[in-house]
Amino acid sequence: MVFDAVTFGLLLASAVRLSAPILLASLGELVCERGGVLNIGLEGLMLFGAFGAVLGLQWTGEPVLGVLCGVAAGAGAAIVLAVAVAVLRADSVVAGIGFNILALGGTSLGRELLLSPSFTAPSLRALASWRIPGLWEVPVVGRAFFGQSPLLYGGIVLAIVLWAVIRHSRPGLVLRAVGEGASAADAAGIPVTAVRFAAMVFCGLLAGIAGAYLTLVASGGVFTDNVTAGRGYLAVAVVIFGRWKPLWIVLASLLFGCADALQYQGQAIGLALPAPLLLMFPFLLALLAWIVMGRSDAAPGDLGVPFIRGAR
Amino acid sequence: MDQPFRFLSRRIVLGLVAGALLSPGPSPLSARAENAIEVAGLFTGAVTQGNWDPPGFAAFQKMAKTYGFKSSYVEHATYEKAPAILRQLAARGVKMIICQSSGYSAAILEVAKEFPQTQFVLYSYAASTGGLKNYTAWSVNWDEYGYVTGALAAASSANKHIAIISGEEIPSAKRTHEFTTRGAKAVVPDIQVDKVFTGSFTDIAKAKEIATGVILRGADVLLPSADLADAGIQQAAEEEKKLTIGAYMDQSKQFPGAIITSTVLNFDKAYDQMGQMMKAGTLGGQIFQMDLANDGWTLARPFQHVAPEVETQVFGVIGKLAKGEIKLEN
Repeated sequence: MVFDAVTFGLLLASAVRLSAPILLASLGELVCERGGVLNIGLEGLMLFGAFGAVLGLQWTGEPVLGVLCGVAAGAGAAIVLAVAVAVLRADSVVAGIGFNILALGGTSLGRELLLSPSFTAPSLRALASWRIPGLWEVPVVGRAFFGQSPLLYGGIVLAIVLWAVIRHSRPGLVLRAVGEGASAADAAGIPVTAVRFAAMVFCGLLAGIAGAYLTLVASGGVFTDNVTAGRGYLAVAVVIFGRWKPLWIVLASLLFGCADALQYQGQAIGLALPAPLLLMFPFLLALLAWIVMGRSDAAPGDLGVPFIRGAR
Repeated sequence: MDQPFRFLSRRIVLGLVAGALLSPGPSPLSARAENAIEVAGLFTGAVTQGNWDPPGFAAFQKMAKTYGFKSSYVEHATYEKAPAILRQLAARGVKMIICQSSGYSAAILEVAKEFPQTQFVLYSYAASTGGLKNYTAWSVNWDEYGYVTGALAAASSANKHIAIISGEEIPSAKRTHEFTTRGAKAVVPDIQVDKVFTGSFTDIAKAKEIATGVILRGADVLLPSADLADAGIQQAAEEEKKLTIGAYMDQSKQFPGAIITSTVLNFDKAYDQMGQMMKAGTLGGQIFQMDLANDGWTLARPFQHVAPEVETQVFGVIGKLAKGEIKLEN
């Protein structure tokens, strides 16, 4: 096995790159969960975002408009899910799983009907890599931290903004109140359903960007069936691993990115582990996160509990 | 205020969702004709995406049309689902089921003996048909394929460092890795060959990530062998200004800045033989080799981005293999 500075730099760059869609989606999930909604449908929302982004790219030829279409697709899909979960009080886990299956079938059908297989994507370099002059060439860390997609930098800024909003602002207080005790929040005059609905739509927006990242940045403008490949579920685990705190979620995303990068780069650097073991590494980490959740007292008090006025 | 859709009970919503989930999806292409022999195709991915299934599907359609067969197909037929799909098709009365991947071999060996009236056909690679009279294979000579592409990559590499990137660890892919290394070392004995499996034939992002990694470690020619995910490898090569090849069909127009040449498999020839033999009732228990000597596959010409001597050298290797002057043995 060769593990020198070049390899470390590659692994780091790969980890940061791979953490981007997970970070964006998990920030959306964070807002949902702080509002008390366990959004298992995140995988499906990402799929719709990924599909919408490629559809937008094919229609307009503009990468930025592609991203916006991905955002619109993610948000639109989130509205449907929010109606079921926040308004109609469907069980969020059951509805989320059903929604993911629908998303898989719906986007596959959409690909067949609406996407051109012979489409050649325009250059996506501006969206894929924003190389900061002077810093990009720095050995080991340059490529990892100063040559990434603007969508990733946006995600990090957003994490800081979310930290400030959730911790120090009135909308953040309202969101936390709904997530910690929906009945008490309702008694205090907070429109619980509206807050949860808005949180889910916000989650859809970010999942849409995460999906757009997967197809436009990571896959060069190609949508394939099930392009998310379980990353939505990983993002749910990242929120738990990050203890429902935005800045911890940035670090947890990076950790999952590392696990992902290890499966990609481990074979190439001759890591003496069976390839299937490397491939399952991020999911083992996710399993660990779910186990941790069972013991955690950091989770919002009403997480996953449908709000029914008058119910105890 | 909090229950504006109270009139829609949870039961109704769940019923609607269940109905949507259970409703039949779009039926696959079906060219119905009364009293015609029914044939079916199994493909690992979508027949409109990538470089492995689309040319095979086109040949499948052409064959069905030529011989007047009723045809249907299944996309995204994963290996673990394959036995169930094969049983379902055979029980329905499909007379010939063509599976386009060596990964289906185990499923055919398991199911074929239960349905002696159905002919099971595999296109890609098979070492044995297990003595079954209703299993026939068209086996691409992946040894030769690997050897030639390895030689091509080695002859094109300035760094003496190449990489072969494959999808899942299926028999044909592992074999190709071995012979790619042999071909590369036959041309440049001290060449470094990185061999990687991405674990997926469809995850373009994963393939691109791995390809970028091997490029940054010094590989300057990448050999893609991951079907749909090849696009990620070719994108990485183009973005990093390195070289690669097209696989299974001419892909030079898709990545003009990176592709030296493309391997072109003669799907039409194989599928036409299947149709002919099905019609004549002569299928069963045989393995047909698809190699350079019998026009089973070739390389697109002219080569791009490399010196003319590379093309001459590679076609020299091809000529020797076709004439049997180079022997590839285990």
